[in-house]
Amino acid sequence: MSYENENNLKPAFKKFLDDAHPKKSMKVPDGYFDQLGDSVFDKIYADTSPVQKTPARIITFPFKSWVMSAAAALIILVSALFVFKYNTTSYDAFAINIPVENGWEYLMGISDDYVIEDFASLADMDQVITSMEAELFGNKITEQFIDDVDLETIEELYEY
Amino acid sequence: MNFEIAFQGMVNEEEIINNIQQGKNVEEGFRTLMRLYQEKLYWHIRSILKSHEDTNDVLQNTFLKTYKNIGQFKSDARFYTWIYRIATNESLNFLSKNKRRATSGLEDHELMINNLNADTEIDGDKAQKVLAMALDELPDKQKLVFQMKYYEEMNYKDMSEILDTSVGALKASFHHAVKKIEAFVKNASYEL
Repeated sequence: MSYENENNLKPAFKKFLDDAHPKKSMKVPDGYFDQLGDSVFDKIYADTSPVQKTPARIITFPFKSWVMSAAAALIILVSALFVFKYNTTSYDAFAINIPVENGWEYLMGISDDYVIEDFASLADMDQVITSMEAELFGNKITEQFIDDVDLETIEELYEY
Repeated sequence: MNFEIAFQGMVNEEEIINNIQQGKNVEEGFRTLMRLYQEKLYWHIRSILKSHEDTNDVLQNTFLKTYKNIGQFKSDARFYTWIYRIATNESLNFLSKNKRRATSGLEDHELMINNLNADTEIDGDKAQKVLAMALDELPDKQKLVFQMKYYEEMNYKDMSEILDTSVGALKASFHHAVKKIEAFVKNASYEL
């Protein structure tokens, strides 16, 4: 069933609703709307909250959060490099200034000691080697072993 | 009639809001906006709260809140639906606070009738009392949808923005509200 009104209501019900319109019975004090603006502004100026006199426009930052994070990380990295560079003491081996004569004395000192003592130790080494050979070949020294070999036997071996 | 269209050509609302947001002619601009909306908002709030005193408190708070937050208002939204939304939320908050305070054990509709009788500005017309009782039987949102659609002649699209509800759901709410009110009125032996 359809009725000729916007909300498709039964005419009698529509009449009831119109008769019962709240505006018909509710009254507004005289001059209320003329004074409302002043009352509201009295409240606005009496309000102690921080946003009262001038409504603040919210400024939204145009960058996305991941761009901000990347920028922050880059700043930290660059700062860290600067701090590292200027707070670290570096030593350049070539920049150390050693007097030439000191270096020469040092080198000569080493070579003198080494040569004298090493020659002495090499003289002793002959004896050590001899004693080791004696141990290995049952108290026969190398020269004696060679002397013991019969030359004829060697020739025979070559003939084969 | 579309309330927004009625004011087009008279006042450049967008320009006023933009000026207020930039701190130019703030009081003058805001007073102009109040003049545009005060009467419509008053009746919207009063249809929810009934008493003039309560309506006055909530309306002033609505404008105070609007003033404080107008900086956050984005120009791609409609100021008309934004301010209505603030007014509706303020009214419903006020209503729920007062309901919680009412601990006398009376039923809601009895409280409503008592309020109606106590308000000297409302005459004793039977139709209004019956309608008030019928509306009081409805869930808050259904009641609001009925009043906004029927008495404030608002279209579903605007209501959808104000109440943050789909048009389909609003149509269903209105239909249920009409059926319930009609049934209540018939039960109250009122001639239809």
